[in-house]
Amino acid sequence: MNRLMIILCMALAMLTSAAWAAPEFEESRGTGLEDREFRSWVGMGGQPGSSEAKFRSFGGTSAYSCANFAAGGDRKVRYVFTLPQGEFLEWVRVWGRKVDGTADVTLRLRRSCMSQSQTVPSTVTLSSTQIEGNVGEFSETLPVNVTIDNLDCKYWMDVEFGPNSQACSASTGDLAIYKIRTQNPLPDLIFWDRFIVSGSN
Amino acid sequence: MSYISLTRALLAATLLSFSVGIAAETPDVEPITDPDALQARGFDPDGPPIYRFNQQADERALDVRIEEREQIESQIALAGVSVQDVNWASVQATDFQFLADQNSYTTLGNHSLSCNTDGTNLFADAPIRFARNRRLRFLDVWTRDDSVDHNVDVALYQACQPMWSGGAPVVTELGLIAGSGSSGERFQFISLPEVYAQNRTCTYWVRAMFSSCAAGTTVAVHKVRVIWD
Repeated sequence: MNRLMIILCMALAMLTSAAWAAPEFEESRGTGLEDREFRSWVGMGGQPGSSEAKFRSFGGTSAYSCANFAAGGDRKVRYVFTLPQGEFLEWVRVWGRKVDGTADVTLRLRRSCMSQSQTVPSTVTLSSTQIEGNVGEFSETLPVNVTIDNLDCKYWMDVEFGPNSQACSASTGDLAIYKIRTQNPLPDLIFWDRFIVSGSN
Repeated sequence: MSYISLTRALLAATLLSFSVGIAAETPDVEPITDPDALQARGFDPDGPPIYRFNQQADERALDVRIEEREQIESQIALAGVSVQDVNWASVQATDFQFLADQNSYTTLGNHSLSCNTDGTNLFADAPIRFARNRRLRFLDVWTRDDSVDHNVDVALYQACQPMWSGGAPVVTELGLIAGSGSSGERFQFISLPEVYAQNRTCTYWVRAMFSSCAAGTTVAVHKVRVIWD
């Protein structure tokens, strides 16, 4: 009996250890968001609005830092993204850094559409928000709730580092975008992971 | 079963559990804190450390490694449900952006990235995205190096932040392929450590690191690709 108990305890210990040794598999940890897809882009993945938009990468982390340290110039950087046709875009979240003495940041999720019957694009702001003050490392979310239509439309996050009548910041890293992330529901449940058991592939 | 025997068994089990667990949990990453090493990678030499995996370089001949890789890839293909499954992502010259405005560079006609001889920034980044939860397998790099004195290295980085709140990114170097000598047009690859794409909290990018811009277009990055399961 004693031996049986010891063997059972040993087996339990081995199983526990195996569970600890499993590789990180963050999306399957029962956080209630297993049915959501996330896609992200580093700050340096954006396109400056023009050659007058001065920028530096911040700390080497591929963050986009506004470098218009005086009045004038262009303050925009755009993150154009293409999501699968028909997906429902719920949220876009932006991570960044903003310290004291920097310009307010305006985030706008925009859509521009042109059908065969249009000769000029119709562009709308689907969601927007402003980040003010000395917030340090920030994370800001924009609700979108729109079905992606790639046939006629393009989508992007428009980031504006304040008006060009003033400096956007005093030095590199004071005002920066780390990451843009989109969130949408997954369209089906069965084929997410090709039937691969977590961590076994 | 006596109380003492049960206690001993549980103690043994606990110790075994912890010993195996700790061994398995020992992080396979090490911090890079050397300012020179950080600066050589385009990071702030006085900034926070980045991390890299303790991985031995595979010194075997390229054809041997490719043969082994083809076997792995054939197994990956067998695991696929749909022929439309995509298990790669690649970036080319125009996907990169040098880490400061007004840098002097060229992408030539066939999507090759070089900094011009009057360039001042040696680093260029390209965001890259992977399918969720997939194990990253190989980092492929195509380069040109017709310069004896100058090279280009290519690395794949992961930056993770809190799920719903702000925070400085924690950066891990998943793989680095170093250029050397004057190797001409070249393909190199490495096997990546056991890492799964974590798209909720992490984002990924490729960095081209030129040792100097003096070589101009004799040193170029053609294409970088990541293969996953």
